[in-house]
Amino acid sequence: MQELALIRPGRKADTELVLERDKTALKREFEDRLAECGTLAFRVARSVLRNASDAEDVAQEAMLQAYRRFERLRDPSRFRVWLVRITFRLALDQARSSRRREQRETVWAGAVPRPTPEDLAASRDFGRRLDQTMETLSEKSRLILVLSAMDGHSLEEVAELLQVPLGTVKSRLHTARKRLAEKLR
Amino acid sequence: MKCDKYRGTLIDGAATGGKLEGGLAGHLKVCAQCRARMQEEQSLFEAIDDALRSKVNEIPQASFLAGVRAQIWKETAPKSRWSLMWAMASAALALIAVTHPWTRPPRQPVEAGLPKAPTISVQQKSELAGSKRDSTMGSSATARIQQHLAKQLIAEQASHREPEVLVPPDEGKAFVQFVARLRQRDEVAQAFVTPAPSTAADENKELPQIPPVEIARLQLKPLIWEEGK
Repeated sequence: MQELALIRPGRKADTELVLERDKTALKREFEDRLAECGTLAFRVARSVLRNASDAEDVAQEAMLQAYRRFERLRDPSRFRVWLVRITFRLALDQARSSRRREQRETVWAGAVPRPTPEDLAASRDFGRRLDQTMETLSEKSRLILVLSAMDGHSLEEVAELLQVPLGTVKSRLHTARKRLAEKLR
Repeated sequence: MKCDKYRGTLIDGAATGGKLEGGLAGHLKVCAQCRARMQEEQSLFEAIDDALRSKVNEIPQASFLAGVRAQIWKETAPKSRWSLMWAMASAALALIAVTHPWTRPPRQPVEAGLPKAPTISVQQKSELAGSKRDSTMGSSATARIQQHLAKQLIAEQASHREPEVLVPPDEGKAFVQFVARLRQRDEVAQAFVTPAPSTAADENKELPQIPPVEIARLQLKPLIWEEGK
């Protein structure tokens, strides 16, 4: 037989109702923010990771973390700043761990596989070279390049997202592009 | 020599894509090699920008946002599952809890029900201490204790004004939510206390109609009586 507990529902009911209302409002607000910033999170993750599926996983994790801390991140500008940072960080971690896994698997396989003609053809592909070169840049430079290349992001908005002065964004962007070009030349 | 001098500014000029400074612009007019180099650099920067733009402006699959929503929903959903039986049992208890304060008879005065035990304990204490206090001193101490106990009892009874209900321990929170929702719905309580029709004339009267109570994540169904069950 199941045990029963004695409760006084009337006293808790009002508090519960207020809490429930708060929770519903919070959830609705987060839904709006999700629709507004979900793609941004995906794009930031995608800029670091090589496939869209991994990027979706990372963006999802970032949004979940954002939801858990949403009470502190209700201010929309603060939310975007936080989301960009956390997504970028999570994506970098994910990229690092995939790289480590790849290296381990290569070591376990015993020998480094020789590149196939297809690999060689792919290595000539500019996009791939760009990806590889991006990985050699500093995190700050990468984030600046990614955010400023996103549609609808002016340099002022990038400055706001990264919380640095506009001049800093301009100079960092210039240096990052030059460094990228230097390595791709 | 002049070409080396302009090498740095040439790359800067290609990177910014803006107006070229006077010296470099003059040099490019006369040097075909640097002009070609400038074009190469400009196309390299354009290619970088295009590749970056196409990479970072990818649109996620339509299922992405739905997936995030589902994940969040999963995270916020209650751990325990409501069975219909317990939901119905709690609903019935909730109705009793809501209507209880109106149907309960008024309370008796507090002092009438005071226990006698403290008087005895004080007397026993006096005897044990071996003191020779007179009866008036003993009765004043008893009165003080009685007053104190009366206050305690009033406080205790005040805290008991809310009806108490027995529920399964893991259903407590949901039950409280149910009661909270009912508190906003006076018509439910009114319908509950409306007497059932006893005469033929009463039967013609319209019974109060109430829309169903809705609580997120909790499905409420009316009890249906089945013969033999």
